[in-house]
Amino acid sequence: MNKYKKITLDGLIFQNPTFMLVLGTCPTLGLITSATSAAGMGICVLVVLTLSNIIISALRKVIPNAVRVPCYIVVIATLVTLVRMVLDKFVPDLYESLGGFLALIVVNCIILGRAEAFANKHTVGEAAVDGLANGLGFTCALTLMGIVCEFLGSGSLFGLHIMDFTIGIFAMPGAGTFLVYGLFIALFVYIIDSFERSRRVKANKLSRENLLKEVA
Amino acid sequence: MTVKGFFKSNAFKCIVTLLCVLLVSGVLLTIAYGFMEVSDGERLQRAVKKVYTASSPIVHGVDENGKDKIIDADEKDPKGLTQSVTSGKATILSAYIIKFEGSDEVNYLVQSRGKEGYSGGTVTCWVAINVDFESRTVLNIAKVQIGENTNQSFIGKITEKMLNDFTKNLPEDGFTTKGDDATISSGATFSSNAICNAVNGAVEWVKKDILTREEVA
Repeated sequence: MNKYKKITLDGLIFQNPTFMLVLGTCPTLGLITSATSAAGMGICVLVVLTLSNIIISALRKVIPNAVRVPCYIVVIATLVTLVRMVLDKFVPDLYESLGGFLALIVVNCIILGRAEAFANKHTVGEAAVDGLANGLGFTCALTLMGIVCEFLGSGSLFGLHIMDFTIGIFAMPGAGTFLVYGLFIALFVYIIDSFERSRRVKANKLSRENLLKEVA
Repeated sequence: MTVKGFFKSNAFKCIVTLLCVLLVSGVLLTIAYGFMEVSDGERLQRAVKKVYTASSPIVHGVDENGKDKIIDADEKDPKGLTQSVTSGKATILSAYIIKFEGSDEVNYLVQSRGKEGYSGGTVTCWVAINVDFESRTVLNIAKVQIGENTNQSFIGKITEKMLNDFTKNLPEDGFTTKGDDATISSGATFSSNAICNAVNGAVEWVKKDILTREEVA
């Protein structure tokens, strides 16, 4: 398989940071009560993750091993501050709705994790694709859960009122969001597991047929 | 270790690398801040735009003397209140006079933080109060816009329509969440209470501290 395709599929599905690795749970549980905030947060993480992966990969031969983590933190904090400035200037509503979670991207384990596990060992191109794929995986996961929580908790979708019936527990961060997160993880793992199992069965069947052909 | 040895060591390389990364980041952020700084005047204009969606009013600051100069978006430090004031169960954070071109209507736009919300939290509201300078009375609430809040998980249940319907008629002794059908939204009683406190505090402050002044109007 093409290596870029593998990196993309890993980030998006097989090693999805939210559902498979259960990383970045703090903004996930705090922001999925609103689909707009969830999507906004996802896009911010996508931008920071992609840029930090590119910069860290480009500097991987320059940064000494002993000070690599402080350097990564400085790079990530700079990018997060830039994103905050841009949002405050041009998208103030989103900036306000994300609140403290925006600054917390600095210590988001997805970003530092990808820098440490991937970007400092791969080329700039691969790191960029990895950042994009993981960021997209995170954005899609948050947006999907945001849609469900907002629909059940506020009876709306992306702020548009749809129905009057609401279930209060999904309108606030806590038990409701935790429940939705858990159910989504279970569903995602079940789908991936079923897919892997069917692929394994198909592979076994093929190898058995080949063996039989050889014997015959 | 000799001085020469130190400059050739890995420790020196680490220090230089870290300092370089810090320096580049610092310079980059300074340049970005220069381009993307949001002045207090711009923040005020955003708040005014949220409250007065259909019109573009002229904003005057209200300071200790009752009124000040016209404020525009380029104002670095618009003079609202120089310090916050306590009014009932609310804290008045800032206040402005709003005038409309070709109209006699005058509003006081008060940024008020109401207490006693859910879990002891607060709700900050922008309250536009319509006043009559001749009789020095508060006529009605022109609009209430919810700003930021602390710990108000159910505040999303309060829609703009609900809020405007609730504050349409100004009761003599202020808004209350006590009694049948008195609350703004039955799903957010505590947040409704904090909003009532914010609105009542703003109205009381305009009545007692502003309209009673000699130099006003």
